[in-house]
Amino acid sequence: MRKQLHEVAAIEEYVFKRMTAPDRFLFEAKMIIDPELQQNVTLQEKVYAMIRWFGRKTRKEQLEQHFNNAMRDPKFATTIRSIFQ
Amino acid sequence: MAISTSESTERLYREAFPMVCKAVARLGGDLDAAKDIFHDALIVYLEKDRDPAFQIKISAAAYVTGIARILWIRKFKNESRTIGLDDLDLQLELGHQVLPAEDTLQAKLLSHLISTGKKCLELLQAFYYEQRSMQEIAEQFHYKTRHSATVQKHKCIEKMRSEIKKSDYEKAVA
Repeated sequence: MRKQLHEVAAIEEYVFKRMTAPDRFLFEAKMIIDPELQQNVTLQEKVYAMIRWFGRKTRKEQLEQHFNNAMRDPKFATTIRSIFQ
Repeated sequence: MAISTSESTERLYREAFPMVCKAVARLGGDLDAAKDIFHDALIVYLEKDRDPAFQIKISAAAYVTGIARILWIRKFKNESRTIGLDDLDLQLELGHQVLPAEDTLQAKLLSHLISTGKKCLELLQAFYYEQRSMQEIAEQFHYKTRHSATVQKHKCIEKMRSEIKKSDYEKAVA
């Protein structure tokens, strides 16, 4: 892997708290002297948040399909609609 | 790319949805609102359920209904005294919003990432959200080896970082 990809892997270890205490200490020291590394850590944290949201969005679309399927069952649909009458 | 859901999710859906509808109806909501809040609650539950340490003392349907009540109350900013003691622990466990509201910067950024790198997002989602192994991902996304899939995963993170950086820049100069 080229250098940049090694950095991605190292940031991942740091963000997910999988580094040993000495490695973590060293990594945090590197961040202090390297603003670009610090910025990349922040950006990568945002990437993980976006992946989670994308996963949830996909799942929500799938649940919408569950809803449509369930409401095609007349007994289930009547039960649900009666609650809001 | 669909996230697989099991038959147990289907059963839970049919069992818990009427319970959530009753709770939402009591709080003055309609069917659309109940469906929306129920789906958010189910997502929270399914994420928690994949943690081997996750244990509940009540049924999954009752748990999902509890999450839905809290999400409903939070959404409409009702006072905390309307939350029962049993719900309070659960409320502390719940994180921030399930999905960013439409028209927020986060929602716009997500749309931008979907339009510029959907394939990457799907691969990353399979690993980080669905928690599939690299071997499964290599097979699903047609990589010859687990190693090439891992390299691609890192490249995708790098690409996403760069897209977010560009969008931050655009936002800053807007």
